[in-house]
Amino acid sequence: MKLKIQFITPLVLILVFFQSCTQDFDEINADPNRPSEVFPGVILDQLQYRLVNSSIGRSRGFTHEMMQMMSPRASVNNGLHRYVIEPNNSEGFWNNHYRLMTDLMNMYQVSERLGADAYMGVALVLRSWSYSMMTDAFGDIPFSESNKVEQGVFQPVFDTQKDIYQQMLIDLENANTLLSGTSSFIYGGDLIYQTTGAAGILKWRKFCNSLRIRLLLRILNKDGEINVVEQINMILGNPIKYPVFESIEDDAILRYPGTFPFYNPYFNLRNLSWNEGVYYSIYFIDWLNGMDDPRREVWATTIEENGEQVYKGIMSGYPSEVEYTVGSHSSFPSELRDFSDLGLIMTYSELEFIFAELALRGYETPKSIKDHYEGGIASSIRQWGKNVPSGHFDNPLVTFNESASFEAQLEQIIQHKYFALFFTDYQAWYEKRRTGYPILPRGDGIPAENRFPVRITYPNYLQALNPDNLEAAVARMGGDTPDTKVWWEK
Amino acid sequence: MKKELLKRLNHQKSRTISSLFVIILMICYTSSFANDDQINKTVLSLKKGNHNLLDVIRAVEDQTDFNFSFAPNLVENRSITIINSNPSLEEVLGKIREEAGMEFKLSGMTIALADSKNPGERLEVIKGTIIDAQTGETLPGVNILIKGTSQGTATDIEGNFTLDVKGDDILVISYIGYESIEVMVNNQSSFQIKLTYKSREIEEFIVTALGIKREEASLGYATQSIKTQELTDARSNNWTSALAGKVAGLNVVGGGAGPMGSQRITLRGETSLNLSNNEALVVVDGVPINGKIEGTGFGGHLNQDSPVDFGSAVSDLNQDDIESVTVLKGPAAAALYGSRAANGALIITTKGGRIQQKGIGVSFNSNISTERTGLRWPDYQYEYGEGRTADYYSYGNTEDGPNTSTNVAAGRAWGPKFDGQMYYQYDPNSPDGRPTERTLWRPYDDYIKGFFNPGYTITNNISVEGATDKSSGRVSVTHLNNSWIVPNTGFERLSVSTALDHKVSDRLKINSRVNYVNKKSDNLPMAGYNNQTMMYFMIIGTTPSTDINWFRDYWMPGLEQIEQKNPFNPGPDNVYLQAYEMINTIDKHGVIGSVSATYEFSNKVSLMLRSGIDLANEDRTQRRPYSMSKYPRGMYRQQSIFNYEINSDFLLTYSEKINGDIGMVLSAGGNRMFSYNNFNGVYADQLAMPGLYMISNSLDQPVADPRLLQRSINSLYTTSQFDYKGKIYLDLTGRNDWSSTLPAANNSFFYPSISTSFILDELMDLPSAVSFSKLRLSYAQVGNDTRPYQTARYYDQIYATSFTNPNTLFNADLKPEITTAYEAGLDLRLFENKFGIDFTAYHSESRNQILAIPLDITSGYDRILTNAGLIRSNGLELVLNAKTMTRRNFTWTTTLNWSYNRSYVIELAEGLNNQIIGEHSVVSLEARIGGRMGDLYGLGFQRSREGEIIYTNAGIPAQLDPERKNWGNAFPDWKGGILNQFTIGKFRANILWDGQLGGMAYSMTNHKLNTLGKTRVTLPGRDEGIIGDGVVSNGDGTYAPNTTVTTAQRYYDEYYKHANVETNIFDTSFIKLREARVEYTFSPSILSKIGLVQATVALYGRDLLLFTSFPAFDPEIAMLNSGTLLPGVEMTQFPSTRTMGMNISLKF
Repeated sequence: MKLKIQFITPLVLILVFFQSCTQDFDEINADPNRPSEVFPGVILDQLQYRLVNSSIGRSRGFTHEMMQMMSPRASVNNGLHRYVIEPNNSEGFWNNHYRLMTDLMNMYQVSERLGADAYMGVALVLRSWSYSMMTDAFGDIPFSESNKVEQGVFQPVFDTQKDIYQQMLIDLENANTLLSGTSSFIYGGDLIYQTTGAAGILKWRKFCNSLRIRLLLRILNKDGEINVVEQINMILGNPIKYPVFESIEDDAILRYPGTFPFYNPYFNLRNLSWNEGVYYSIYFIDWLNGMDDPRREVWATTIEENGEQVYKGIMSGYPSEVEYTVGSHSSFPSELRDFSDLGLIMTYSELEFIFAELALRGYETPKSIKDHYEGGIASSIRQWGKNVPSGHFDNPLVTFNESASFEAQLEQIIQHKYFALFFTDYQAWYEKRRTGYPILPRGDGIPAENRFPVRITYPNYLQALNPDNLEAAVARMGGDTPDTKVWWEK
Repeated sequence: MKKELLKRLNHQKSRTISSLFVIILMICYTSSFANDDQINKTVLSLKKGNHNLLDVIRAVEDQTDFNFSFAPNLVENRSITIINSNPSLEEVLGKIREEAGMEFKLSGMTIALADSKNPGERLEVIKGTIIDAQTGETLPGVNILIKGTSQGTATDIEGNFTLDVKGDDILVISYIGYESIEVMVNNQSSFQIKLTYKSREIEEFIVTALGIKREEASLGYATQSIKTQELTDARSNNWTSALAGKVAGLNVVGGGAGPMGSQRITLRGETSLNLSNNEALVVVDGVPINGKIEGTGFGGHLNQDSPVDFGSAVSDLNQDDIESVTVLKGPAAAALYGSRAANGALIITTKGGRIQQKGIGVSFNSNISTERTGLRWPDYQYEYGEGRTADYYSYGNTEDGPNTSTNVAAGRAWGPKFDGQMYYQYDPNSPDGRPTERTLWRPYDDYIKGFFNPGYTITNNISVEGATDKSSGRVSVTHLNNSWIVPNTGFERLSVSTALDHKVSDRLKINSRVNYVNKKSDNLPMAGYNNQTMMYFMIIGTTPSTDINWFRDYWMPGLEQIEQKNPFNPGPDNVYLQAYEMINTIDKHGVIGSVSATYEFSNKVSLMLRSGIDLANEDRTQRRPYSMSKYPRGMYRQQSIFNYEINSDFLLTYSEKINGDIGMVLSAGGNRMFSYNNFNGVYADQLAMPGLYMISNSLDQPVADPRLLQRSINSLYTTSQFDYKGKIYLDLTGRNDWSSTLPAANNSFFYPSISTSFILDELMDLPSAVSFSKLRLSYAQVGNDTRPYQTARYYDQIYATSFTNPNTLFNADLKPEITTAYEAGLDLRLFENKFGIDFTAYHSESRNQILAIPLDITSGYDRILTNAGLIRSNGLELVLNAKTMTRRNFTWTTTLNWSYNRSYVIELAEGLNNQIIGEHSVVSLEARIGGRMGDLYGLGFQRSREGEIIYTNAGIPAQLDPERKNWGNAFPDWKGGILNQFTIGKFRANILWDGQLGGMAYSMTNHKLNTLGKTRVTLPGRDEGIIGDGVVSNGDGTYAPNTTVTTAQRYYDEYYKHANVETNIFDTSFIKLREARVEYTFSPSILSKIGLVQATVALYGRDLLLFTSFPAFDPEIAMLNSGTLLPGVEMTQFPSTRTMGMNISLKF
């Protein structure tokens, strides 16, 4: 036993040595490459960039085809242009939105701690913008409990669209208040208006209130459930408290700088992925041809036909036997990949069309219906970098017919709003669902039983990861199909 | 025979126990050989006076490690006189020579005694020589006894003997360490008798955890050993390939992703839901090494860039320097390695110096092999050419009609049949490729095969070794040069290995091992399915009517480095541009080394200290030229990866024998592990000037990507071994780890193991056919930690200047994972050891697994780290050995191994019944409760109630059934291998077959080739159209048979479409002729004249035959994704190859 005691001492020493070694564990397990705290500016820039890329991506990947702006060059079966929404369509958009909301809510909290009101206001505006795109596409979605896993919510409930709208309108009111103070972007990071001072903050307020008007118009037929009319009149009646877009200078556009790292997201695409898979549709390009629209040359390539350069579209909803060869019709010009002003969020042009409709509906807007309508067209043309040709409003396809019926005037407003909403997320599709305009032709290859989809179905994964709340939402909405109408559409 | 074996086992055991201090944790071979110096210095305790020779011999054997070999009758009645007390062994041997009149010769630790003046009564005098069957060396001191008598002799120094016999006598020839044999005299007068070394005698000692050498009989768990020869016999670039088919329960799959041939090694199936946790630990000379493939961050399927197989520290080991590999299959065996050994371990012992006949031994080994495609190709068709219409072909718009080639066809082979007709086709001599005249419409049979070259690997190894009684050393240098099957790819590897063992004093021994490797490649290919991968090009970039040579000039004339020439489908980059301009380089310097010192305080107590390091620096670059699809403005990236892991151990050992019946060895030790992995990437993802590959040429501000991972584990462990009379053995271990990666509250965890073995034939009466039998039972637990930095919030860098929250939520309350395993085994040797069966059954449960479980993204994160899950595995392993035939000049042994494993998902995180553990866009490895690990899920056909495929009115299969179904399991039902070894005179031959039954894999190659009309599968219906076998809906819930004719193109395009897992998943059962080898050993008598000790020449082949129904290149595949290999998915691997080689081995 003596022998053992002899060795107990070093053993104890070694034990102590080893125990003390765990003291540096905190240091060893601290990541030397990643920060554990950041300022809001370094979240805001990438957040804006990714939100906008995602939204214009939905135009390119969904709305353009659904709304007969463009059609695929080859499509053997199904396709949006044949009114088929495949399972998991827009799942990437859904995932992106919720992932980015984590950054957004985190930035909000960080800003709150720092007393950075401007960032809090911007967070609320972007949140409402992104959620409104989501709920208009899917209907009821997780909102009040979303992005709260750190508070222990693993399976958020789905809120009704009405509740979501109500909260977005409150958030925008609060955002307008937060942005009315003296706080500015002292931590940088605003890619959209690219100023750190008061000028930029004012533009954010204008965007905030313009967005609020967009939302209010969308749910106009739900006045009574929500005080829509009252809110519209409140904004229209107090432009000092509720400033809105006043020119294309105020446009909420992420103007891609053309320098690293926030390039136009299509900047690096090869032709194969950029323009060899899609053509403009006959419907869209023929309207542009008819109007001799100056935006046409920004948007589309020409092809040679009978010795002339022409803009030519293909059928939408064509039969499966049809396939178009490469280079035979108009598609995106390669310059559009480098176009800086492609990051469209909401524009003065759209607000003008909204005002035109509100004026038509009897609201006290700044100008007449016609002036708003023509302002919408003109500012859209300017926004795409072109001048309005003289006599443009004399073109029979453009001239506003003030004496036409309410419905015909509405159709004309929405018809032209449709062109102005090119590359603006799902807006053209939402407006078609809200108003029925523009009236699109039906392709020969669309199976008789297919109806124009009015909703995107929920991502499949929810069945595995949040089944109970999904089931409740589906039951409440009356189904989970592309034909299921969302609240404001009912 | 049984008793003899036991006696031997006992003998060895007692020797082992008494010298365990010496042996413990020492690298092998130290005390096995001796020289004159040792004889000189060995002092014996002998009294003065006259001694019977036999008594002297017994005294020497008892007091030293020397053994005598002699004929018993020879030493009778002889004696010697000791003049000095405590004489040296040299003196004693002198006396034996002078007084007893005997000659002696030292051979290893054996002293052979011989005397030619043997008085005999027999009538005939026979003469003979006894030699080692394998080496041809003559054997001195071999006992030759006439059966049934006490008369006999022993061979002299030269291995010769003379004996008087009768014509019908039988000679019994025995020699320590060799198989005894009987030889009929049969009136012959001259004999050459070969003795075979008992190889099992070496195997009796197994290198177990922490490098402790143990008797096989005492082990309570399953192990299997692989010797150097088995690794170098039929070598491949990655030594781990040589494990395939040889070890029951071991599974090796590669990515088919390049010359490095990285492989994923698992033992006993998949126990963790985190697939990268399931690989076996590899330990070299006591130092755990990095088996991780350091990825470039890109996935195999349509990522921004594609993964490159850069190999790993494991694949860089040089097989020439490996002495043996012990496979510790289960946690019981590996428990002492702690955390990382939950999935078993490969314990590698590198070679040390041995005593040599000529003082210094020089070995030279040269190997040349060639690797050729053609082991298996997809079933390509050569009957129809490019196009989307069979009506005509036109490259560009011509008078024959609109373009049917570029873009339109995009690699499709739905064009016209080759019928001797003429079309306007691509003209390689015209500037824009436009044809001016029609040319013959013909297939190019090597439009794919012609791209590949034969690969060559030349390996030269030279080693020098030697030993004295105090020191031994070995130095080995190996150079490998590989040019691979893809043009302009290959690598070069220089390995230097040194081993030094020194006995500083009787009490202190120092051992060191240092292995250095430099691996360099000027270009390694990219793997996977992507615009810039070669196999993608081979599938969608070309067609049977396209000549591969048309792609050789890969720049547009006058636009070198600016615009690639890609006259057909512009999707995939020109394959020659890929080979010659998309360069991936590596230059790696690595050192694996260890130093250990063992000090004996007394006969009973010793202390071992050891420190080992695995250190490597790796510089890599990737160049991408202008105009490639994913980086139109080119790209240049460089990474430098510096990593090391230091393990420092101490181990204190105390041994005691109680009442002579119970032996015990108690050890306590500690380990401190620190690992440091510093990855520094600098990226220029757009180049300012084309063709200039340097960071300073970045168009944008270059992006830095620093990733430093540090991790530390401190451990204390104890291990105790008890044995009772050599009949029952008991091992207990316990280990406590403190891991830096776990939260402070949970960072300490303890796990025990207990294993027992019972020598049944000692404990009970068994039939005499049983020569040896052992029952093993064990129980073990192993804990595991996680990756660094998982327990607190960190922001990820994004777009160079911004930050974002990661997709996986951290968890500040993580606990260690725990695997619990039970194992039982039976080792039976029958009919005088001619037949051996080793059978093992095991059961293991892994719980509290640290997983990133999927969350509903609306909660804010896609995944959260948590402890969850319970995986239960059961398995069987069987190893059979048979000495199938033993004749003079001919032996045949057969070894068979077979294994079966099933791992079931019992629990997942609360509220989850499904977890995706691995994924390729359309097929996923899903763990579903009640399901098996490795179940593959995906979509399949919509079927009617009767099970018929539902077709649309257009005659093509309807939209896929939206329900994800299980289409089989990625892992095989069982695996097995059978090795036959023959020696015929001076020839030695091995043939290894192996195979597996079951296991499924999704084949991207199959999907894409079939939808593009590239395979013979797509020939039926080309001319007349196809009516798909199935039904169409009547719209009222009933179905009518499908009668609609559709074109082959539309039919196959839909039938084999990407999302249809049902038609693209295949059984991976296979049988491979894995290795075949013939070796010739030159006769020593010839060699000695030219100064050689040994010379062999061998021809061998690897992967010579493959029988399988799998439609792609090789059923043994996995998908390489950045740094991991995903089983169950074949992602357009490179062609499988046959290797043939020649090997020359010389010993001076």
